[in-house]
Amino acid sequence: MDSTRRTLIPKAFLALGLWVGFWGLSLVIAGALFWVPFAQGTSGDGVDPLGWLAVAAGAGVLWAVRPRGWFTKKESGWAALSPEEAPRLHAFVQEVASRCGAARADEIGLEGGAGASIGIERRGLRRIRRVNIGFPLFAFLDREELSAVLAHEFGHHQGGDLLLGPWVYRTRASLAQAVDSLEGSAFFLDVPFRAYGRMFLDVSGSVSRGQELAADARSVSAYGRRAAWSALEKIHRLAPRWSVYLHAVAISVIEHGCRVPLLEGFRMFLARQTLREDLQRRVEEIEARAPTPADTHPPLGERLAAIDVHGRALAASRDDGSGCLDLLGGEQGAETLFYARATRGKLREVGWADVGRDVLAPAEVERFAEGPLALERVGPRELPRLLADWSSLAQSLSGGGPSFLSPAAERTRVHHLLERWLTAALIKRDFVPTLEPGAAMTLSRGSETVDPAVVLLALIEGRLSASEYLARCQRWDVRG
Amino acid sequence: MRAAVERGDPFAVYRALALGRLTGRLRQHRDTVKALLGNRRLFARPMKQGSGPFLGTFNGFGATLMGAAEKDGTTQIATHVAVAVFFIPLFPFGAYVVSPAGGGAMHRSWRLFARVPLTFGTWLWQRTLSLGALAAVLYAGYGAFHATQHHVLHVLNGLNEPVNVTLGNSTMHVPPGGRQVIDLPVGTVRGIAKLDSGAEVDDQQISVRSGSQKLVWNVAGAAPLMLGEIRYTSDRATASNDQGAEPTIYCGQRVVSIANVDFAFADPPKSISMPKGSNVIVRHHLAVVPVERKGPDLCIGYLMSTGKLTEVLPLLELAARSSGWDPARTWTLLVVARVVAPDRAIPLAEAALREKPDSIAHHRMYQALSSFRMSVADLQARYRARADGAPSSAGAQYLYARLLRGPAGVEAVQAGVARFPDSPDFLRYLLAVEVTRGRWKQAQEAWERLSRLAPDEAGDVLDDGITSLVALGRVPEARRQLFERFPKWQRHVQARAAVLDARLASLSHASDGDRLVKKVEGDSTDAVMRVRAGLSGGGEGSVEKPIADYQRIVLTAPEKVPAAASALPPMASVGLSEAEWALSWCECVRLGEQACRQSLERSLHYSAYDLEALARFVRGDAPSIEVIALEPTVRAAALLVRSRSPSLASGERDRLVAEARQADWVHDQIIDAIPAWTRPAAR
Repeated sequence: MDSTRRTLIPKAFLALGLWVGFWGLSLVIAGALFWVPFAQGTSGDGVDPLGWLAVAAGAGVLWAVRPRGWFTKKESGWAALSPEEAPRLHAFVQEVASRCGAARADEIGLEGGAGASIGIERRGLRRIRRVNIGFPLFAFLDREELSAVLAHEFGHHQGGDLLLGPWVYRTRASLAQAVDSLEGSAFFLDVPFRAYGRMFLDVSGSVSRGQELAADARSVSAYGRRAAWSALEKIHRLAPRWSVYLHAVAISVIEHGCRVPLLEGFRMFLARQTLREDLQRRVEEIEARAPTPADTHPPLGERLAAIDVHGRALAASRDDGSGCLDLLGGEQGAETLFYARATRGKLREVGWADVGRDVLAPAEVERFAEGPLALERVGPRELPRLLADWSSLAQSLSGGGPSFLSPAAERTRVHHLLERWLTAALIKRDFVPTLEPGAAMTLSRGSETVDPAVVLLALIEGRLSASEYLARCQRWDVRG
Repeated sequence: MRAAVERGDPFAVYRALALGRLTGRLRQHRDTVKALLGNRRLFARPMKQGSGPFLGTFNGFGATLMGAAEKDGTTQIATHVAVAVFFIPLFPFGAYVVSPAGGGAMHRSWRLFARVPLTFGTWLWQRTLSLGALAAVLYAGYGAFHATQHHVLHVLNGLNEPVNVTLGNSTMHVPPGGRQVIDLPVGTVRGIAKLDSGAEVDDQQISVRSGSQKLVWNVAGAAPLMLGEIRYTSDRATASNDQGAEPTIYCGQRVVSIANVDFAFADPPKSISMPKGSNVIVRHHLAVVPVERKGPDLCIGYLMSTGKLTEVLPLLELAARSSGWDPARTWTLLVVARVVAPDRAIPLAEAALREKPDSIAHHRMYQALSSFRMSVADLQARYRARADGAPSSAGAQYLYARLLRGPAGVEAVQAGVARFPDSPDFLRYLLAVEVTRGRWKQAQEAWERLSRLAPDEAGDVLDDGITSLVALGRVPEARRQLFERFPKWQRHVQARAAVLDARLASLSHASDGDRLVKKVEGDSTDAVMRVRAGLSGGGEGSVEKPIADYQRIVLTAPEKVPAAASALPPMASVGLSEAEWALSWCECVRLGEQACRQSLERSLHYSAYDLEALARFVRGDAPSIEVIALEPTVRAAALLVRSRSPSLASGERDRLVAEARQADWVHDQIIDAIPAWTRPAAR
């Protein structure tokens, strides 16, 4: 028996045990509840109201744990990269597989996050082994580092982790569904499932973390400590920023039907000394997240220490390098492949320098064409009044629907809206918007540059008096 | 608070804030917290997809949205509650941001936007109710589990004194006629019941099983436990036509397990609600039949009347022992023991004698029993030794003398009377001897003296006493004595006195022949007694069927007697009159029918020696029956049956019939039977 099989058997038993444990727990609880009226009927003086209550509770438990979505077809991700689209990448991945002694990948795909994954999908009778590689990895990891990442993923396959994954997933899904269904149960029926869920996450998390370390070890043995260390360090450093950039900056522009240079924008995002406040807060939130026992991956420090406890590989890992975009036919080709999968319809190509003027400005002006802040009726001079009577504005903006915000949150929402409204109003007054990834939008006309957010904050905090503001408004109204 | 925030549960955050405010931990943020708690929309959760709250009521029961808190424009917060009985809110499930749409107060439609937390107070109330419900279900579960491992045993004491019951390691005191319950683990448990005196009255291995059946330990089987049907009918017409099944009586059954009992040892309701279209609903009621006098008599009577002699024997023994071996109870016990457990009869009689060594009645019973097991010489020797050991004891002398037969017996009784003139036992024996010898004056004197000294004892030889008066031609005096002494006698003597009075009334052409019969009958009519008294009347409904049928056969169809006697219920022969019994027994003897003869030899009235002497006379093996002291009716019956022997010459037969007619001085049933019994017999 080889070592892989030796480690697989206890894992298999554990996964199966956790799965059986969930159903055992469900059936024991339901069975115990159904047993109450049965025992009352056969051994006592008949079924009393409490017996019927137990029947109802037992039925509730069975209903809550009923299997759902086991056999529904799951999204397999973006369309795979064909060998014709990315011949070098295919050759590269298969070479890595060969070097690791792993089976070849049947499909290679792209994914939006700064990570990689490997999985097996059933398509009829076929089992498709698919490797997904995060788009930004091509930009920031060199070939050795990307090889180490792929070797890690193939290590999962070699360790048999992919066979156990579906069982763990099903159990996790069933638990989540049961807890969701029984949430707020009048009889505390969710309590045992919550407790089991915590235990399950702890146990499965521990196993999963062990699998990650084992996959890291395979990566090291195939491509060395430096590559593994460096790839891991880079991914952990860049992933939070990529996530914030992609979702809070890039996608908000792409949503307007534009194709912006994604990687160029990210480089600009990284290059900024200070990020816009809300973006910086998001990055810090992700980075500051404390490890929990349910985590599927060990903390970075633990993983790096497992690779090289003395940290000798650290010195070589700080160079972000030029990446390996050639595997996707260069930066332009890589982005084409990304957009082809991540978006639908025809996109208009726009550079970051023109995004403010060509994309956001028309959209903002359009947004305030109607409604209580219609630019034709309400000018920037109204801002002090609107700030003073923000609650009336909030009410008229809500359209009569329910509000779930606190007064402070409602006020903040109104402030954000007024910030964008002021931006649109200034655009109408020939101010040209400029948006750099990671920075706030600025508006400039001639030599005057206005940051609407700064103006609004100064007005709110009293650093800018109403009269001073009105004087500026008078100046703004004079068209350049 | 931190944990609630990290969990991403806004409801938990709301509750943490409310708790912090209550406990004063958030005092420095009081205003903020107050503002937050005053706006539950801030803690809203989206509605679960496709799973809105159930809303619907039927007759005021169901679930609905109630309340209109924190109104904001067109929306408000309503609580989803379970309601019952006129929409009284019972259990709050959750709260929702809603917008009321159309409809009235109770049938309004709603638009639901989001879930919000219940107010802290309502949440506490919900959790309290939930905990209560959870505790109740757990308790029900425990109760159900306990029920599968235990079962309640009802212990009934049908005796007239308390019993101390030991069941495993538990003990309990059950008062007379009382009931106690005990929860026992399933399995087999030994139950022992003892009287306060320490005497053990029952010892059972009780199998305890879980289930809804009722498990009852009826100590000694003495309590009249009954399972009856209670029939609830929808209208009076159905009720009058619906009699239902006979109740099941569990007398004599010690441990019973009864299923499908609806009301156990509790009064059933007068009425119940019935489903539509149902005319009759049957419920089963388990109870102890209420008795005026505590004790096992009701069960003994029931078992005797239904022929369940095996079951009644232990009860009789218990009743006899607990009564201090009362003669009447002892007699019944020994008679039944002779039938169902012959080997136990003499040990029981000996046990009675150990307790009552000087009781003449018990010795008489013992002698009668022993006569069937030992020779007359052995029995005489035993009692002679006893008499020699107590020469001054009238009882000891009497008990020996009554075993002697022929001239020796006459001499012994005369000597005994001379030595112990006030001994009722010698006097009653002398009376019987003098009647047998036809010395009516001496017999009448003995009767008078006995009646004076011991009226109760005189009742036992009523036939001899009255016959002596009739033989002396003093019929009016005989009737007067019967009438005057009637109230002092025991009931069975009263019944015989009533028959004799009626017969003598007929003899003297008096019209008040039923004066005592009516007293015995009371409000009812006793057809069997009326036949014995030669009176007409008696409804069919009051007739004791087996005795009446047999009585008719004896008086009209003697050829059927052997078969009918063999088929009599075990104890029925005890209820026959002297004439009915004597005619039957003698005919069985004459025909050599052993089964028939044994069926009739269940009374301890005559010893085996007397019966054998009588048998020899009936069969024609002995010329006379003067050697044994027989009641006149029995003597007349023996003469009549002997006359039926086909080998006799007609003259001899006529002589015997004439003697029989003469021997029946009171014109008892023998005279009634003569026409049928003098028809030529088949064999």
